[in-house]
Amino acid sequence: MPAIPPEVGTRAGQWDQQNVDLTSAGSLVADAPTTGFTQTVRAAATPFLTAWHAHVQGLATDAEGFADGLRVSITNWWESDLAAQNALTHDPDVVTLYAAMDERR
Amino acid sequence: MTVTLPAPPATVPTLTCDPASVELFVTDLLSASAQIDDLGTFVPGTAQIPAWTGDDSVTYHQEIKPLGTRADAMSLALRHVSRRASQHATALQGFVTTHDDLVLRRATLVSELNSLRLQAPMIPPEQLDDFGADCTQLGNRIAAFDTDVTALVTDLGAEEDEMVAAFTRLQTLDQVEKRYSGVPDPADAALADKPPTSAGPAAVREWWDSLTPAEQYAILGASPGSIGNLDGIPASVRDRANTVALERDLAMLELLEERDQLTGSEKEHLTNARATEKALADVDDHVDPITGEPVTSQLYIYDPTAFNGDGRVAVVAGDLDAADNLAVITPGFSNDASKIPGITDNALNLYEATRVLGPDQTTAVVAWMGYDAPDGWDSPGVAFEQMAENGAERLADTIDGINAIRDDDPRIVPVGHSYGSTTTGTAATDHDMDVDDFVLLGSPGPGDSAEHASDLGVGSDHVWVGSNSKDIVADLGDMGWVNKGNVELGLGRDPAEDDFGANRFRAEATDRGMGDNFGDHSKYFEHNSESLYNVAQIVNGHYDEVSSADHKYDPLFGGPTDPEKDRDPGTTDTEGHN
Repeated sequence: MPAIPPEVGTRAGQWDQQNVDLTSAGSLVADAPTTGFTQTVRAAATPFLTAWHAHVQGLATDAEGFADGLRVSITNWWESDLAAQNALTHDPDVVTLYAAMDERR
Repeated sequence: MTVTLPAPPATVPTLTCDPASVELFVTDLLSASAQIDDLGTFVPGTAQIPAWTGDDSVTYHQEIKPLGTRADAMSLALRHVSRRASQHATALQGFVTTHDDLVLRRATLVSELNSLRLQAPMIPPEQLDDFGADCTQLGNRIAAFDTDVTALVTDLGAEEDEMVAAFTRLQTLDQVEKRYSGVPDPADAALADKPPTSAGPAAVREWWDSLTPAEQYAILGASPGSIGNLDGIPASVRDRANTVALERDLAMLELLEERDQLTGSEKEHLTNARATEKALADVDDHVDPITGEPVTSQLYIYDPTAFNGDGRVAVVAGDLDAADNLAVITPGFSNDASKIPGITDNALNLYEATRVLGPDQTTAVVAWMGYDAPDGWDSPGVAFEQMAENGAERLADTIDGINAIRDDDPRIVPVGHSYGSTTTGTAATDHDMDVDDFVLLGSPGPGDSAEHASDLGVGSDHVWVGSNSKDIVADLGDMGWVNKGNVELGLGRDPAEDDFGANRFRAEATDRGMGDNFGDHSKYFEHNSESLYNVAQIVNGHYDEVSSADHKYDPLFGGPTDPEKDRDPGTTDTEGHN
């Protein structure tokens, strides 16, 4: 049994997915069409979208930060735990965590 | 006596806007809001790792909490702005209508004023009183017109100010957190009262109607997936919820595609999403042949990963919430969600034909890829009824849902093609469906439970069969004494046979093949064909206009006989070109 649960590896992947979801949400905001508004409203819509694209990108960056942070925890554990390295071939929890050290997306 | 001509009417200011484009803006913001809402749900839920202990765990749980709180506030704020923009789009539509009306009124007033100007020098003294009265009356109408122009300018300005304020009041994160941090999401309480699916579509409709507009919009932003495919929710609402889901999918999957990170199942997902987007665009690009207005599109079902990736999608040409006549096309063998553009083309042809042949009636046609049809690895299922039986239950649920959203009693006509006719026939025999007529096209059999047209539950005179004499698939049903169902094979009787007792209508193609072939199996929805003409007349309820065909029969001596093989096919006009 590793010192950190395999869920840490699973969560790292889920935070990566949050990063993808939020990055795409940022694109939706940035690309939202403003041509349908009158000129007066469009003048206000454009800076709104610019600001919100940055806000959403901020969330995406934070999500990626948590994914990376969890991977650092896993890597630190792996490098300091010789028993875990020896268990790689037969402990499925260790396999899950080992696999999570590589960022997939 | 002096008569003064009225002053010219005020100029109508130019109004440059596009409410439909504003609705696209709304959908994009709502889709982004839904994505951010998911983060707000993720942080206090799935993101937690209770089994993890130690310093790293403490730090992790402390640091993610504020992110969740910020996401919740941002989701509410973005949803608020998108709702305001949606109201703005509605207001703009009203202004466009008023503006166009004013332009026409002004042209009339100017014309009348010019006419008075031309008459003025030639008015004899004895007619001056009458002429003066005409001038006064026109002057009053011009004054009223000028007031309306001023009102348009004032109202538009006020509406623009409101929209601008919505943008500027929620532009910074400080503004967002001051207003929405810690504010409960109205969607949560509303969703807590949502009846279970087992309660049925009528209970769902009652629940939805009990919500305030703000609660309804909140659910669209927070949880579009909870209502997008829920029977009993109005079609226009399902369309918006599913469009939000579609936009999210496309944005996310295309990002992964750019990064070359798509998995195999995500590639299938993206294929289905793009096919759905194309089908909707195809409807949007069509204009109604009678009104010249764009055809309404509705995304009624969107579940692109259902059935192990085959997907489940239904696209409507027309307004399912309001149309007089509704048709539901169920396709057959070799179809899945990636084929929805082709199925939608058939729905559009039927839509146009019903409008041309019944200009006073409105129509909505559903391209219903709502079941797992035999295709790909499960193609062998086409020889058996199991997939039709599963699909029949889903089709019956869809019909129940449509009935639940309508307070009136629209005509409903399920139209099954190929294996889809087996699904449709099985739905009729195995489920209690409240519909008016059934149409079976190119049918290999309506299922074993339908020995006779009267088994379909609407009366044999309301069961209609289109069977092209050269369609090889339509010859697969049991004829005469043959009954493959006794040995668990086949898909039931040939519904075009005389003993089945349905109405057979003419469905020959002018370019039909020489012998039995598969090509003629795909011609039932072609414009200007006998088949499309007759199906449209049935959907419209114009039974007397349907051209009947002689049934197939199986004489005691010799093989099955189809009299239609010897008849020269005719043409019709289903596009309104003549």
